[in-house]
Amino acid sequence: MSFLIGTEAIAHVAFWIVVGLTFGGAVIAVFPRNIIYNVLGLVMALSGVAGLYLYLGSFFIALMQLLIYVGAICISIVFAIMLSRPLHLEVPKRSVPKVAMAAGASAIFFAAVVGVIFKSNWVPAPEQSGDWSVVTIGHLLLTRYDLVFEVISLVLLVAIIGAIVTAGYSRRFSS
Amino acid sequence: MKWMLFSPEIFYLLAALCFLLLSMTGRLHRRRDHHIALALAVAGVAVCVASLQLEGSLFSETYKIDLFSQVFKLLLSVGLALVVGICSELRGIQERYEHEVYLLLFPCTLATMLLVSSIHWLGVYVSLELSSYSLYILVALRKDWTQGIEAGLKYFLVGVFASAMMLFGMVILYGTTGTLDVKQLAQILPGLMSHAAVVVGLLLALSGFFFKLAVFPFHFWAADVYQGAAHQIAAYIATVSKVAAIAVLVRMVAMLGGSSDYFVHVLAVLSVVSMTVGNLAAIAQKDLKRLLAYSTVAHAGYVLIGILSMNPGGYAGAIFYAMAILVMKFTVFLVLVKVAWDGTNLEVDGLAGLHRRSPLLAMALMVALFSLAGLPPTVGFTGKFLIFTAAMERGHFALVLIAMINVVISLYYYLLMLRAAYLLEPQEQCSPLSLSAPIKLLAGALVVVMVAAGIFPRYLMDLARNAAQGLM
Amino acid sequence: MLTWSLGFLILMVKLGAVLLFLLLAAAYLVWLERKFLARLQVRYGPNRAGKYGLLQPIADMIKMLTKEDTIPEGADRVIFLLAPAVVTVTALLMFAVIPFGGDLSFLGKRIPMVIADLNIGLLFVFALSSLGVYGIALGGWASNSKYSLLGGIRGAAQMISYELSLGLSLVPVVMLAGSFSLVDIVRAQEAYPFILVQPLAFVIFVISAMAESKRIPFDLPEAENELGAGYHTEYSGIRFGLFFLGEYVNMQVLGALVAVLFLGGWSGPFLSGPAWFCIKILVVALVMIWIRGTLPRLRYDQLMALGWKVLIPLALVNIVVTGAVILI
Repeated sequence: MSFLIGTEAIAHVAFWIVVGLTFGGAVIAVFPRNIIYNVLGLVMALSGVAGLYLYLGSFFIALMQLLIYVGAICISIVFAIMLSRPLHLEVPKRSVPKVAMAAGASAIFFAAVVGVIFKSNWVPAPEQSGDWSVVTIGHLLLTRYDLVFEVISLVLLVAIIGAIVTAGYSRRFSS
Repeated sequence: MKWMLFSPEIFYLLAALCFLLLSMTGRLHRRRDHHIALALAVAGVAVCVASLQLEGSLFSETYKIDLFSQVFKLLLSVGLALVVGICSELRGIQERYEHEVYLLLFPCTLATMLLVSSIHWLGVYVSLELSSYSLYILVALRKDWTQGIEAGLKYFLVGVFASAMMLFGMVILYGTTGTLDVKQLAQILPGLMSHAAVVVGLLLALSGFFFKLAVFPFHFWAADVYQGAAHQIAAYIATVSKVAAIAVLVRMVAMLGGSSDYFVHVLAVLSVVSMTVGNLAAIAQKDLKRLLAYSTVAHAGYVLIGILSMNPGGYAGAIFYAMAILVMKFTVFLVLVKVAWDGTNLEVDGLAGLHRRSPLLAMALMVALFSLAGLPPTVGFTGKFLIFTAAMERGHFALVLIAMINVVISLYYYLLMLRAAYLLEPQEQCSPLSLSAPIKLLAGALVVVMVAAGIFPRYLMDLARNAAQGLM
Repeated sequence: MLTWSLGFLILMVKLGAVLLFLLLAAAYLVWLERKFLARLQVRYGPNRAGKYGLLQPIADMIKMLTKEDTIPEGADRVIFLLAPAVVTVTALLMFAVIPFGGDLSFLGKRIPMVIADLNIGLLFVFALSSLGVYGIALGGWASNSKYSLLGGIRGAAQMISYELSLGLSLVPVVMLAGSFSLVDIVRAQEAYPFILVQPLAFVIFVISAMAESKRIPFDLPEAENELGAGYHTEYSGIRFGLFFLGEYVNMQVLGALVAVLFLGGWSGPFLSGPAWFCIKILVVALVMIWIRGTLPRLRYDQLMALGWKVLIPLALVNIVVTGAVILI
């Protein structure tokens, strides 16, 4: 019964699957020219991140990640793409210098981050004050992070106004 | 009453909601809206003056009210009132969206005020987003919508990139220290400053404000956005938004930056490159607003010198310089709005014959340009003087020398503008500009302020010093 | 090790039982709907295969399995093939957190009659139902057909809109129960079902749930007289069958949710827990069929106005009122 050897091995495998999902999703989100695939790659990567949260033991955050990023944000991107021009039309060519520059810049940034990660000796985060249940998070949101919580609603209001205003342009443009 | 501490913010929130309701009534009453906005903005200044002496903290110590924050709130409210003052004719804005201008200006000012007081990175981040989102939309409201949308999109893309960097930096900070509370960080960080991760995290976390301040390498948006936005909006970005960014940078560096040579070196490089790039690029510009944008980049470089000196004099200098920027940049934009009254963009040569069309505006422009260039006896000179002496105290001779050279370079293009206003003859006959009495009064007052604050800077300097004292 | 293996076994048995039950129930729900609808419209409904047409679902299943699985020209193959699975899988997964009855005793162990009692089960249901939109939107988009595309767009817009009122209508329930766990919510209703104290939330929830499952009067995504069959116009064979299955599983999910959240779940006199639960689901399903037989389809603007201007504000008011009552 080798497949039953402890949950630890399973968790380990699950971790690498999730990492692969995140990374593969990120690659798909960047490289294909079909924009729907890009969004789906993003969906994959974000689901992978949700998996990472799950691995770290926060089921709530994982579900929120799914609900908000995959279920709401990416869906609205898909929705917007469905309303945009058809995909069988020709896609503008990728200019090689631009791609090279972007690749170079991200490579440098990646190298810098990796360097920082290896140079600093990470201390495992001290066990945070125990329970991170929905109740605790709710209490924190309405006490310590009250201001942040309320300002976010203002941000959303402004964003909605912005969406309406900019959508108004395109309507006039097409008619 | 603890909520008294929060009164300026509450006032601006209510004002914003007031315009939200007004915008729902549908019909546009341009004069009425402008009068309401002006009244609210002036009342906001009064509220900020009244709350100048308040001290305390809110939201479990994540929101600090001290002299520093209150001085900046006053500056921000003054900036808003000034900008609203030149909004009487919004010819650069699409008519159907004129409602939204005030509706967005007030939350944006509210956000900048929250920025000034927040001492928790999450609060800082969310407030920054609020102010940025409002500005993205305001820029896109330009009447010539291709220009507006293009500028808005560029602003948005650079801004989103900067926010992402900032979040990344915050994540690194949190990963290394386990907290985002600036007060706690201030206790933990000094011992950790040798860690590369902490310095990188801090720099990335500050990049959101480098973006706001248009510091190299986040300055790419400035020229296009100034050019693409309506004049009033560009004025707002050049004044209020810059003041807020300076405030946050000063506070964060003062509380967290301490005693890391590496950190200072990076800031010094950013400062030098910003000054040089800004000034050299400004020389090549024909469009007045593009020129002002690059001059802003250069000024961001000067402010950084004050901040990286990391002594009370440097911080006080940066605060004083924020006040100076507010007044002098606004004066130039006032002239711009009045000369380009139809809302179109203005070339430098378009200033030709200004001294005949309106001697008052020409004089205001002259004083403002002298001040921007840093010639005595104007407020700009005092600001630069304070910053440079603070830097000298810390031994940054090379930096000051480079800054001096840059000041000389900048003199060239400021004088070009002045030449256009006073010496060039206009191509065709231009009618004199008719100014309303309040605008005349405003222009006169600005001239007086710029000169008076240059000659007798004592009061403002003390204010800046006291505010900076509270930081340490 | 033994307990681990036993737990694994019990989990597998539970999964198998639920899956089997769901698929069978879905098949006979179709039969029930056709029969009941036919009676409402003074017809006979299916009556050739077996007595009362009872074998009709099996005949349908064989038909779907054996039909050619066509892919239209110009379709995006990968997404086209994937989309139906998304719809079915998300619908099936929701049953993971729904409790069918009280705890069961077996070999001295207490076995809860739920696959996984998450303490945030309700959020799990929401997350999955929000993922279900992908199937509709992508299926419509990938078919490379204007009817499908329009259906997909309509479906996405409708589901995004009604998800809000769906979620908001449940906030008072969560506030009353003090938990996101569906088991706890059922336990909180031991004294009285929440439909008595939250009639408004119940109405909003049922309306939004019907819109979420795209049933008449909210079937704009597949409005047959305008769009052919909407987002699944181009699908045939088993892939159409998956969409179909997803829809009926969804109906059961909604019935189960209504039962759990408002009707007291498995609790009831005389009969055993699961029996009561099935009866409650059946009643909800019958009401939904009844509504289908009664109401005409909404216009698109009416649909959006109902969601955004009526249901969401009402749900918000309901939250505030409930909160105030709880505080007092």
